[in-house]
Amino acid sequence: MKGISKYTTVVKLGIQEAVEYRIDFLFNMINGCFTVFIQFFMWTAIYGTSENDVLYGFSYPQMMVYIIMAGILANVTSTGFEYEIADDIREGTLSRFLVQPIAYFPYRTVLFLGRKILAFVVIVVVSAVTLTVLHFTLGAEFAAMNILLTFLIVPLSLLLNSVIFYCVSMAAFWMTRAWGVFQGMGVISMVLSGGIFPLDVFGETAKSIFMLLPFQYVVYFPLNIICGNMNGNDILFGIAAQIFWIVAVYGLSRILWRLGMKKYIAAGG
Amino acid sequence: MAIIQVKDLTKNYDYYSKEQGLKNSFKNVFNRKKLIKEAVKSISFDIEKGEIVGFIGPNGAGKTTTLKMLSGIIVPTGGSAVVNGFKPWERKKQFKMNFSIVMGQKTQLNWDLPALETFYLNKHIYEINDTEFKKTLDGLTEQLDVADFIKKQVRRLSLGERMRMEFIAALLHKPKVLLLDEPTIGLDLISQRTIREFIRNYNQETGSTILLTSHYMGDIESLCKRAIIINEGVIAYDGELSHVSDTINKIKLIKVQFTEKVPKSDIEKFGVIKEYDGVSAVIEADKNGLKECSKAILDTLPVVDFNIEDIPIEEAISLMYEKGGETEE
Amino acid sequence: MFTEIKKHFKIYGHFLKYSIMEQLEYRANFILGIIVECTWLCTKLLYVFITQSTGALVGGYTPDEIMLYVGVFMILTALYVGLFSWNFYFFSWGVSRGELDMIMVKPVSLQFFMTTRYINISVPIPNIIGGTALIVIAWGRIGLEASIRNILFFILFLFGGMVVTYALFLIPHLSAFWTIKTQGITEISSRMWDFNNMPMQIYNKWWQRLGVFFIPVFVITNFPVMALFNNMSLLHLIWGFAVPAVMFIGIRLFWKVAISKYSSAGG
Repeated sequence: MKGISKYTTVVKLGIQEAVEYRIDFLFNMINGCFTVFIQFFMWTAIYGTSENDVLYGFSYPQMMVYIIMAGILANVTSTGFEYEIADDIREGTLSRFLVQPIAYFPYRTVLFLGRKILAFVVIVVVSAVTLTVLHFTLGAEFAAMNILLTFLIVPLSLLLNSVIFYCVSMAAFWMTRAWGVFQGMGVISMVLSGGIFPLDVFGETAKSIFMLLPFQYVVYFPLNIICGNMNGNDILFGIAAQIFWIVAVYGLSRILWRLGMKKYIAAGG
Repeated sequence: MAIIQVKDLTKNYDYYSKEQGLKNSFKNVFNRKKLIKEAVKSISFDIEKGEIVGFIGPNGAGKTTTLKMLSGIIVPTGGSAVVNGFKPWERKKQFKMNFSIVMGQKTQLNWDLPALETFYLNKHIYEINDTEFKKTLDGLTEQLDVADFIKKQVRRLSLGERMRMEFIAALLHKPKVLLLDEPTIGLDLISQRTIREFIRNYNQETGSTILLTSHYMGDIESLCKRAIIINEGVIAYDGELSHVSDTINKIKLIKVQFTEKVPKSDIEKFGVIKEYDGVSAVIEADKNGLKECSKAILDTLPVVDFNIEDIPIEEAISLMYEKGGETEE
Repeated sequence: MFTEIKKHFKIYGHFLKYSIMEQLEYRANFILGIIVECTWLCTKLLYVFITQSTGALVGGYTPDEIMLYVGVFMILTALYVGLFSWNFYFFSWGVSRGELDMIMVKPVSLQFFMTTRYINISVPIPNIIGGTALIVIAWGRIGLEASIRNILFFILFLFGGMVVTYALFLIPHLSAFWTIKTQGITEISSRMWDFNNMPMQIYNKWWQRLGVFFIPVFVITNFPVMALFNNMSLLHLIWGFAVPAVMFIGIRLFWKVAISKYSSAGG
């Protein structure tokens, strides 16, 4: 139990930080709102003039649910610790973790999850309000079971995104200016996770490729459950795949970590 | 007619009391307590054309604030100043064309480029024609002995080299009035001396008016005949520098460190003890008996480290007040 | 007056030269900048892609017209990011560190110097290439036969859009004269730029009025394109000429108020 208690301390640290930086969080939310605002009007215009009621497999209410919830979810899952890790590597702070009985990866992940707890609570409330509003204005239908499932899955999505970006941050071992990689990856993962549009807009071929990547389990997969586009088996398979990816990407990051550490220690820490 | 005329010049800064913590940050958004700091309180002085005047005072006394008002960087709260016929803070082009300031803590050079590029930029900004520019630049590079560094990236220059470049950049347009704020701060002794000599020659050759602040009495002593002392925003003294240096030099501080603990009573006979912690002490000694006093200390006490320093400017000022009081009586 | 303008043009030439020299000094950053911008460019292209594949009219624009619109948006993005946005960011940073001092004492316009001195080369490259390609392709597919008058208006409004961009996006940065923490404000204002990603006709009447007359962000990309397609109302036409002047005078006045608050931090 002692081993665990030091991580609960880190969680508390994360929560404390989140409280301190809640203005940042607020600004982030407003930024997210802008994107959703543009999307909302664009899709309304498209559905208004299109001959079909269903585009890319989404009805108008479903699309509204998707883009709004995607805006929220992309916001919650966004990491930002890449830059801190890069700083740790560049400035040699990493050496501290070599002597302290706390492993770097759990430290980072737990700190991140701690930071997100506050956001998560806010998001649940905002989402509940949004879904209720959409239900009464556009007649969007949701199965209570699906909503519940989604909120059980979102923590997994958080974890998946954090391991993905933990993996990306390893680039800092080999590059002094890794910010370009972080920014580029940020945009790529935003698009490929379905954080802007549902993946269906890219066409069948592209979508089937994107479905093979881990990114889609961060946003696209949980939102498809809410939109009611998945049956029980699909969901079970999805959760299994999500867990698989968390383990696989984590494994990859361990390998990169070891290789990076060799270089780091060789360079004299 | 004096080239710089300052009358009742005043600068107040508004600031807000800030308490730590996020809760207070929020509170401050709606309900902040406004406080006023009087940085400069109604100061007056005149400087004649061609003078070099030393502006002395402890940190936070209002030296830099005054210089910034005379440059037009900040606007005074009250009073007036006329520099070369202009109110500086109106920021008229004709004023700027004949004015320059060098600040030891700030740079006008582009770090990623050679200093020469900044000179070219200033050539256009100050509308200097080609022949004039070349003549001035050659003259300045020669005097400051920097021909080798002029094409080197500023980032790669030493502080002393960079400071000389700052002077060139500031003087290309041959300003009639030149303000220098701590121009030798952090420099090694050789660079300090080069810059001092340069300033003196420049003043003699061009007849420009120079107002100079410095932490180093050495700078002021070697350059200025006249000193203005400012303390807590008011002028404490304005007149002959020799008078000031006499006072400052009258008393010296002897800093000693001992190999072992020395009782206070053993030190007291050498002078007034300013600081004491057993193994080190700061002793105030009269300049006249300094030599004998030092010798006696070195002979009788187990000394490992020994230094003689000027008294801090703050103290010199209070000393001058005392002295002023004495003469009036 | 004329000599002053000539002088400032010459100085701008030096700014350009210095910016290029500086950026060549940091080549890795230069290339990374291009790569990152390419990923952003792709997200903009997605909007074109969606309208093309649904074939729907968006705000009365056909998919090809949207393509042209997004092309113009990219060109304006290139100009905004290349000429202004970096200066604006450095600006608030410089104010908080008292870096205006040494420029203020020079016989040159402080506003000009502070807001134009750095010209970014890397970020505009993908935008210029992508934007030009979209415009050329869309122009051909629409078979647009714009009159000389429309093209002239297009160019004039493009220039007007630049002026509006300059003024509108500088305003939030001037808050640096009052408060040190400007990051949140500037971040939000910079996101406003994305409102030009799609034609303003997708928003309802009230949003449109807000974005045209109150916070004229829609004017920037919408007006040039509308001029090209020749579907501007007289009111919009007049406003299109008036708003750059109004904004420019406005920013000048606001600048003067702001600069008087300058307290020259940092000793």
